[in-house]
Amino acid sequence: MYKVIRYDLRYGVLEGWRKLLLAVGMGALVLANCYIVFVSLSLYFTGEIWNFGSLGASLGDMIVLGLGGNFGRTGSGSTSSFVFPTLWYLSVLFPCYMTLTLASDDISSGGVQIMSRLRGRGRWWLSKCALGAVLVVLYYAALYALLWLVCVLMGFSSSAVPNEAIFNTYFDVVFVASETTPAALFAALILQPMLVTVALSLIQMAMTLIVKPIYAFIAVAAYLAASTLSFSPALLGNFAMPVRSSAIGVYNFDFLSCLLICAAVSAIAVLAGWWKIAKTDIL
Amino acid sequence: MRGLLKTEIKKAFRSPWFASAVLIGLACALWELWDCARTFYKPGGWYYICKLSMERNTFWSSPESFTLYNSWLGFSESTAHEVFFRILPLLALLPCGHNISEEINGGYVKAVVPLVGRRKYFSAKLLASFLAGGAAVSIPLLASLALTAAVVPGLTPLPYASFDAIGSGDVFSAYYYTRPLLYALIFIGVDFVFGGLFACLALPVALRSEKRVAALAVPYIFLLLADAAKGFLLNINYLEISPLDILSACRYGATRSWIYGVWLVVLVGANLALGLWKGGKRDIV
Repeated sequence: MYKVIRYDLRYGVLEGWRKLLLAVGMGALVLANCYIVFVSLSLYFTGEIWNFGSLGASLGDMIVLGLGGNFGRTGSGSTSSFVFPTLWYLSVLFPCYMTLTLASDDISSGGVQIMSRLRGRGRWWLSKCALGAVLVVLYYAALYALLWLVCVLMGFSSSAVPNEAIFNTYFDVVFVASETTPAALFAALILQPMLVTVALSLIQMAMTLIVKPIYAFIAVAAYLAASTLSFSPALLGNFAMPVRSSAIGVYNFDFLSCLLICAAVSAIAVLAGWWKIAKTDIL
Repeated sequence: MRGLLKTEIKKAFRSPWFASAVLIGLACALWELWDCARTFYKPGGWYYICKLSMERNTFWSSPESFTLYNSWLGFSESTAHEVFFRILPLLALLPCGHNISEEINGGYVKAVVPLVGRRKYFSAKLLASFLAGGAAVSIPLLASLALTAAVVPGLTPLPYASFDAIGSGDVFSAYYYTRPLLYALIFIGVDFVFGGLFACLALPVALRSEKRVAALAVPYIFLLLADAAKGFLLNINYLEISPLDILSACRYGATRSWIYGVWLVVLVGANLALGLWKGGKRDIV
């Protein structure tokens, strides 16, 4: 069991390193977005376009501006305002696409041989789940590392606490940094999106054992899109949006609930996949 | 060519992929209908407000504020609307994307091309994809318009009584306040054309990647990236430039007809240059 997980992780990550370039692409998009926002904020606060240094921006600002999600629709009809958070949506869809065909591709290639050598299909499935989860964690690690590096190079703070003035001006919502802790913000901005994406990837991988991978991808895409307008905790996307976290203080999607729900969803996905692969006729 | 085209169209429209794309779209239409009926007929909702206004002859609330034309899937502000327009490219790509990849990377193309020629084969494939992709997107929209008409009255929206996000400079805005049915049908037509062009994007990807899923997911991600660019430019000029959001009859940014023109040129150009031209030059051995 340990050997197969080690084998899968070693070769899965080494062969899938190109997939992690998606994290670099995503980071580039976030940086481009931050650049545009910082230009307008610099003009607003200082009257100069290039005066980024005086903004007092941090890593938390970069994450919130690029991957924060949105607060949903405000008002209705001609007075309504809603911009779909495409960057956030892509940031979750990319790792889901990375892990989409991990199980189904392996079954149609050498996976059946490995199952028979392992004398247990469940072990094969567990190793695929481990690989999926590790790829998602690596994706987020690469993405945040890139953002952190740019923060250091630009002379911004490496703190996960967003600047109140930037946040309040950009989102038109009051955020009081003293009412939360850096640890809560770290969990909301960095851990929550990662946990939700791991759970969604596992659900998606389990679905690919039942339906064609593209249907699983459509289901995840629709599920995520629904969470931009609906604030139900049943829609995990809400937990993956840092601006809706309890640490920001507008909505109450807290870290503990996220951890429990994601653990439950992941466990269901692993068990459902285990049950399905045990029932599948692989010959 | 005619026989080949007929075969390709038949294959596209009779495939289970086409049926599943239409079913997913219809599910969104039904979700929208449920939301709309619930909002309209709930106690204290629009139905009761309008009824009361007419009975007491006190028109403090205009019935035209909630009509068929701002409640169907293509226009409303509901979650179903947002989900439908977010997965619209995937629905368009579904009928033919998988099939194109299978034929190009499997053995089928090697059997057909010597008989009909590369250019004719790829032209027929593109045309069939265009029609099936457009139909997969527009059938649910037409169904939603018809179903919503059975629930909400089709009153013509009034510019002074309406809260709808259609401004005077927006594309086809004149029709919205004079011939709203025509406005809705024009947008279904626009969605058909764009859905068809999205569907054709599977061919350039299938010519480069052997993965079946890539033929569907890569064009979708490309369109999402183009949609993300809106986020940057919205900060500058508030024009709606997203290829996904311009398909919705109701928008938050201002639209201009040249934006549709630019996207048409980009998509047709990409399909012709990267699909038909590249496919026509491809060695098939």
